[in-house]
Amino acid sequence: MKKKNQPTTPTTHKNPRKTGIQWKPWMEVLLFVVFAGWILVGMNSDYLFTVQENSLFLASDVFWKEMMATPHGFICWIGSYLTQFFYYPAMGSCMLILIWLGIYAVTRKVFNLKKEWSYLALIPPTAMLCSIIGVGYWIYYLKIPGYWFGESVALLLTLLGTWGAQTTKGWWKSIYIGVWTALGYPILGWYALLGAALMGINHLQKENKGGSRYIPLATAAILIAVCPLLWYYHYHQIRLEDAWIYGFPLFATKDSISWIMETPFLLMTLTCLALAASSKRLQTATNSQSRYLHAGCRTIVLAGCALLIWTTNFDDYNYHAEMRMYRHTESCNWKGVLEEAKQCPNAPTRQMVLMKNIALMNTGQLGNRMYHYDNGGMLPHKRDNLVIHLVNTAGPLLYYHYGKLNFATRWAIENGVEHGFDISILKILARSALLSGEIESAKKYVELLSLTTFHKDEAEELRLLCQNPKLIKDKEEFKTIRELHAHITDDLDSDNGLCEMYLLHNFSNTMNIDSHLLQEVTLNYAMVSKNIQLFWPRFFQYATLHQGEAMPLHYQEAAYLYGNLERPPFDISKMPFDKQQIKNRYIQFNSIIQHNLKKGLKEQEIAEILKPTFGDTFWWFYFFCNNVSSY
Amino acid sequence: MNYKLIPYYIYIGVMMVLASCNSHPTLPERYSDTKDMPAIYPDYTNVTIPCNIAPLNFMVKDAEECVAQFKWGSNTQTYGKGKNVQIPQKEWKEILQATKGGSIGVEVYTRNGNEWKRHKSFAINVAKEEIDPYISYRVICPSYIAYEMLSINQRCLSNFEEHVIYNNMMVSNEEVGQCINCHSYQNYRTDNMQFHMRQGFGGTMIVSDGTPRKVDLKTAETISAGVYPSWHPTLKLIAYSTNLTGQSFHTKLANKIEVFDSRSDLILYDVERNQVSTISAEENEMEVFPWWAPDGRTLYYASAHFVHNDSVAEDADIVTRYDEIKYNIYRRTFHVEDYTFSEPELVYDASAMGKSATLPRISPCGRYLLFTQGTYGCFHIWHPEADLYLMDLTTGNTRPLRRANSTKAESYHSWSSNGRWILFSSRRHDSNYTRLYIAYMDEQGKDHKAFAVPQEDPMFYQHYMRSYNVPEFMVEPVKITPQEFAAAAKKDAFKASYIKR
Repeated sequence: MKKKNQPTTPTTHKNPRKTGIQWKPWMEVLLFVVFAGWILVGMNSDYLFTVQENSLFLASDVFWKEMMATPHGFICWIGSYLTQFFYYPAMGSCMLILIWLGIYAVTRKVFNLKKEWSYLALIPPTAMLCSIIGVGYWIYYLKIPGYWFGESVALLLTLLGTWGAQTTKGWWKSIYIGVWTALGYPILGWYALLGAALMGINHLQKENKGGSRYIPLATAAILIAVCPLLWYYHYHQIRLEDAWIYGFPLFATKDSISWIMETPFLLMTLTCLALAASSKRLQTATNSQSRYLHAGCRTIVLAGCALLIWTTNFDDYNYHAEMRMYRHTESCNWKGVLEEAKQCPNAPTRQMVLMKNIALMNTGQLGNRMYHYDNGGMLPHKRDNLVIHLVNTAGPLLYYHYGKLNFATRWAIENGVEHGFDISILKILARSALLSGEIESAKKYVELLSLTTFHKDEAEELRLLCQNPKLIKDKEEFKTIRELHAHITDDLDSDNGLCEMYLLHNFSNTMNIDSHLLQEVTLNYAMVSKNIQLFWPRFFQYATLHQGEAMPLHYQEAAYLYGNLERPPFDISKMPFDKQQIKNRYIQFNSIIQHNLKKGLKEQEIAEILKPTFGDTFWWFYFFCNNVSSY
Repeated sequence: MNYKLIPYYIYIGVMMVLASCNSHPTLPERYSDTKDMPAIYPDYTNVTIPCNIAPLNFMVKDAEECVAQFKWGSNTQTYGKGKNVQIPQKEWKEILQATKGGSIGVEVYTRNGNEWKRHKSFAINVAKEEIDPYISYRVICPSYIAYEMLSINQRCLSNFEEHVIYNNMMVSNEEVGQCINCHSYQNYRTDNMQFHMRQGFGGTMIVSDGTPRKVDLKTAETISAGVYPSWHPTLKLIAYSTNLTGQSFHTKLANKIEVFDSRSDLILYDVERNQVSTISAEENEMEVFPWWAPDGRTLYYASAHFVHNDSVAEDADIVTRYDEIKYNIYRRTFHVEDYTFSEPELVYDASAMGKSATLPRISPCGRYLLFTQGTYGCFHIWHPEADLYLMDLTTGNTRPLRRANSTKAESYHSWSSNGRWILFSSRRHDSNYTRLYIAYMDEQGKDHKAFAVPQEDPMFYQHYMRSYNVPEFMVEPVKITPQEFAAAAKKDAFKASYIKR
């Protein structure tokens, strides 16, 4: 009977035409591996490194129990474990690609896809690849632990389970589906239900006759309806209405929901269901189809996959540059931050501008170099209605480097509570606690870091500081932060979620002469605020504190400009402005503006004319850098 | 292969596994003595514990390996695996039964490298009095504004079993969040209990005779729904404070957050009639934290006299003068005939000493008043100087609980039903994460060294990233399931009416 039901292999394939290169499945696999490897390692290394920084796996009982407190928990746990390997992006990518190859191979096996149709088995891995590379700014908001590996592992297990069902017959098939759904649900969540559906449909395709062929499908349908309901009474963290979709990735925050992000998972699901439903048709169809039609379909599908991957890949320059700059800022690699800022081909985001300013502050170049970089601000690029806040993407790190350790701690915890704790949060929490003198608190975070796989060395380094806090003073990377923190005063305050606006308002309104560093920061923020009244007292404070030193060019530019714009309460003609760099240059700058205004040019046009020559001055920033959006 | 031997192999294997699970290590043959106490975590050295508590599992810091020898009567037993000392529950129970009213001596040996040391021994005193078998508390990340996955849990103190009473994720999603807080029971029993839910599906969950229903306690005459609750010990009445609460953030101080009320009053809720009436709504007084005396005839509470500055918005006024708000403890006599209250009587004048006293709790015998005292304000868990104080109501003598307190914040506390144990929250471990501690109060009202509620994994508190708050004793578990609570939470709330008394 079995042999009768098996489709016969068309003779055309036994005797292929000898002319031309015959397409083999390994070719499409090779294409996929090369393309996926290039997209992941070649284009997304910085993103993948950030992925592991924004994820967390702890080798502890507590972490295991917390993961297992919901259906799909095991997948989150294993996904979190594997995500750590993106610490080495190439290694993580190789592991991921291997899983996708497994999905490809098992898809072919489960749905019995002959080599003529093998390319269809590439659709699920393609969808998985898209789900990784299209995350964009959701990386800061996604609440699914281990998402980057977990979904692929879940799909592979689901397909393997479906394959396993093929080894059973008769009632055993229904029993298998029952056991799979009942026991698979806590491990796989929604994927267990998908597996049950695939098993039922697959069986229907394989058995031709008899009413009994519907029994596995009916069993699957009943269990899909009942199992989540029964398990709901076991768990205490899920809503009843979510029980049937628990584990299906949802991209939602309190402000936004993204259906685009769910497209890869819908594509993967529909493909699997369609393959299950049409596996018999695909078998028989091969006999009658011409090889040209196959070649056409293959070309369309493979090109479609490539196009999908290419268009899904979130390749926004600033998005990746932010990640590189974050890494440099975190490791106090100020040269790296400034190089990245210099290389930016278009307007940077505010996050990039702030990190650049922190680098300049740490290298003592605020007064001479700040306006040599673009100080504008482009909003982060996004494809959906995700609401992005700077305080979520980099707030804790920015506050930390400005010595606002309480606010760094606050936002690290707020982000952790809202979107899940991760490596970068633990590092900020440990360092902030250490510099605030809260050693016991720091020890806790260090202990947690030591439970990770690739951050034990950092944990050990911090542990030594906890054991001997006197060493903190000698650490160069803490010098600036300690000085700023030591001189800020305590107030009751709130940033209302607007990190940059808070820093601007707070520093530009602070007066301090005890710390040269803090004083210079207040002067800079007074300049950024373009508030002349705030500028003068801080300018004179700076001059008093730095007597005998050359006045940095940007401060001269601001003083000369403000002195000319408004009548100051003193005579600026006696100030020793640099004749060439300031006085002559300002006259030239002003005359170009006047000349072009007379010509009737608009502000934006004048800005573009002046930018090549005067884009590195405070004057250009003052007049033309407007409408900067903070977020 | 001889397949007949398979059952024997299995038997031997099982026995080996069982033996390894229950192994008692041998003491090192060679060691040197040190006068140092072992650095055990959590600190259970020289504590007094109830005779029905779960095993006090601990680990030894800064050691590669340890062995602890427990001595009681003429018996000894050793425990230890790696850095951990975990005692099987059955054996622990036998030890406690044998030492009730006595003590257990513990000698800890530690190894670093090849060198073993025997540390100074310590005692674990076992009181005759039992502790209530259950406690409940809320677990929450020590966040500021954001919250996610809050749950009210119950824990059996005789073992390590912990169960969820209610978890906000059973009704919350991204669009509709829910905050839960302030659970309370009538006389340690759970058939009459309550907790609050705010925002999504908000309301107060009242369980009356084992049936949950959601009510809305906000009326036009009151400033908010009920907040801090206290069930009358015998009647179906709950005293609540109503509060307008805000918070702001310290830019530098380790306190980090100030939580304050800009207004607060007291109300009485009649559960059976679903009616709210005012207990106290004095102008320029902020009344909070009501608590019934065990006889149900007196209501204790904290209140701060605060005159708002007319020229400044109330919130801004509070933010700038937050450290001027000092709470005293008052009481009012309750007239059960008409549910009215007498004029307030000052019990403890903290403000006269420049302090602020909150959370009055009367011992079951009615003799002692336990409260938290800090320098200012009402939310002392963020105030490191906050400590527990005890007033003898027969003499008026007040003193801090020196043995139970620490240098970090102590706050929310409750008495066990027999009055011999207090359960309270403390940040002594790491300043940020609130943990639960138990201290023995002997017949003379003397407090003893407090100990952390034991956990199966000695490193649990180090690895757990949530705080415990509002710890309450119970003599029985909550029997309503989380799913039943979730179903009740999703229903519309019964609106309470206001009645003037």
